Amino acid sequence: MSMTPSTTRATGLTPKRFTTLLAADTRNAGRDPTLIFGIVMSILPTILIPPFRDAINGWARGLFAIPDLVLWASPMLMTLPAILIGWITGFLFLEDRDEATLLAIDITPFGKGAYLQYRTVATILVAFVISVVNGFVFTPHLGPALILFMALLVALFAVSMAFVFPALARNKVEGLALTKVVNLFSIAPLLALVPSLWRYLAAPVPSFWIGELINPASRPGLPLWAILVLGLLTHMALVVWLYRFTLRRAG
Amino acid sequence: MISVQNLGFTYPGATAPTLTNLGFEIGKGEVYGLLGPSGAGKSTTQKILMGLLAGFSGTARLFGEDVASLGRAIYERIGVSFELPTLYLRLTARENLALFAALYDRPTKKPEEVLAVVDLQDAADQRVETFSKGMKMRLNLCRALLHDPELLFLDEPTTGQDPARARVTRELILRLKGEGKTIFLTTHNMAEADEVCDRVGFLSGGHIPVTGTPANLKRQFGRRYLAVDARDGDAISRHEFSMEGLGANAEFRTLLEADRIASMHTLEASLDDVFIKATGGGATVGEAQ
Repeated sequence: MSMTPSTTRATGLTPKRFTTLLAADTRNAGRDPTLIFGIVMSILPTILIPPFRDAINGWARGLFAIPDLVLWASPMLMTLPAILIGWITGFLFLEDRDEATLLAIDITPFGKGAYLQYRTVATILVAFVISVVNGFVFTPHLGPALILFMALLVALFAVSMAFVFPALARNKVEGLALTKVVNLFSIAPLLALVPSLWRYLAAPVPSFWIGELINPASRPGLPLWAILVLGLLTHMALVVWLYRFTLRRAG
Repeated sequence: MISVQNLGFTYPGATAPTLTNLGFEIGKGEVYGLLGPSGAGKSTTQKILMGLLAGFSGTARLFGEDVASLGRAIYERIGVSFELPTLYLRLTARENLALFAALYDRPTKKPEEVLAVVDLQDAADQRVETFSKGMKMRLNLCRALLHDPELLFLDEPTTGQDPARARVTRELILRLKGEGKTIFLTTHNMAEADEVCDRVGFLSGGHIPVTGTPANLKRQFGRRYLAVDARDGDAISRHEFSMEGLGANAEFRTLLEADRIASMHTLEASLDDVFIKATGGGATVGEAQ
């Protein structure tokens, strides 16, 4: 049989491959107690808070005179699932590197580049769906168009969180230590609540713009279009930088 | 199938090159064993041939094409079994194989079909984390065979396997050779190399100073002597005779005629001896045909 290498072409990330890999990742994560905890925690606020929203707000009003605690906490409620989804994906990445399954994938026609693309798309998809639901649950005042845009930002934020681990941690132990630092990113959106222009010191942190988008524009600040553009740019920049870093370290 | 000429490679930051002027050829349907001590550059050679390492000098060709110019489609034609298990531990054997099968464009074998080849069919639905190292290595081999490749890179394929299982794996390698597959084997197990390799090359100092068929190398590095254990009353005495003019050797003929010979064997080198001489610097450069 004579077959030159150029006669066979690898087709990359097809829908069939995507579903096969997603099913395998779901099984893989679903068999690890720590990752199951992450999955449950990422959807728990969406399930638990709506039925008790009035009770929570009433309790907060009585204790701290906060009129709508759930709305105030919504920037964190939006970013927390993204951090958890990113954390799960990031840990699967670290396992792929520790167990050398990434190397095994790299000697298939699919390759580690396409595998990283799959993980990117899968993370965006899962985070986007959860964020759209969360957007309508926690921030209905934004309206459908802004909720979809915010869901896109949150999905990109989830991807950047996923890449932080393989980009900066050498193994799962370092990954666990890094988790503590990454959790600080969930605080950044809360800085958007500060009714002063000083809050823009947090502008380089992408998740800050999720908070800026959610909060009512009843204070000095940038116009909505600028928030949208800067939010998208900072998220994209972080994703691209971490993707390149991850690809380099994957080798 | 594989052609390597003047191959050189130095890892970034390293003061000495790992490979220098490495050269060898492997024909279609051949089992070639690259042998050498740890750190000699066997894995580096494999990685270059598999397209995983760039920045080398010289020529490395696979299927007649420069390795550097090969696209990802080349992986449809090669199968790799790494020295260590590279598997999803929380997935079952069947799930692992199904996942990897999805990454090929060419038709792949059914998981149960390849699992049966290495006698793992009963463990198909068992999570890999419960496997012994030997089982994981067999599953590694399964994955390499999944897409029926023409060229196989097998790195220590019998690691962690008991003698019976290791024999099954060696028989499998010979069966694959019988099917026309080309096999590039790296191993520390000289008995294994002796049994399955058509030719071996000893990698030392970044190149291959000694290469040839195991039988010829053993003769070349051995002594042309015959060792005879002869009965001497109740005791056994050891005698050595040169193979030159053995038929005319009076002492040997006396032992033979007196029916005193308990056992005898030629003093050819083992492949272990060849390994020590070749990689210890005592070998002459050349090829034993």
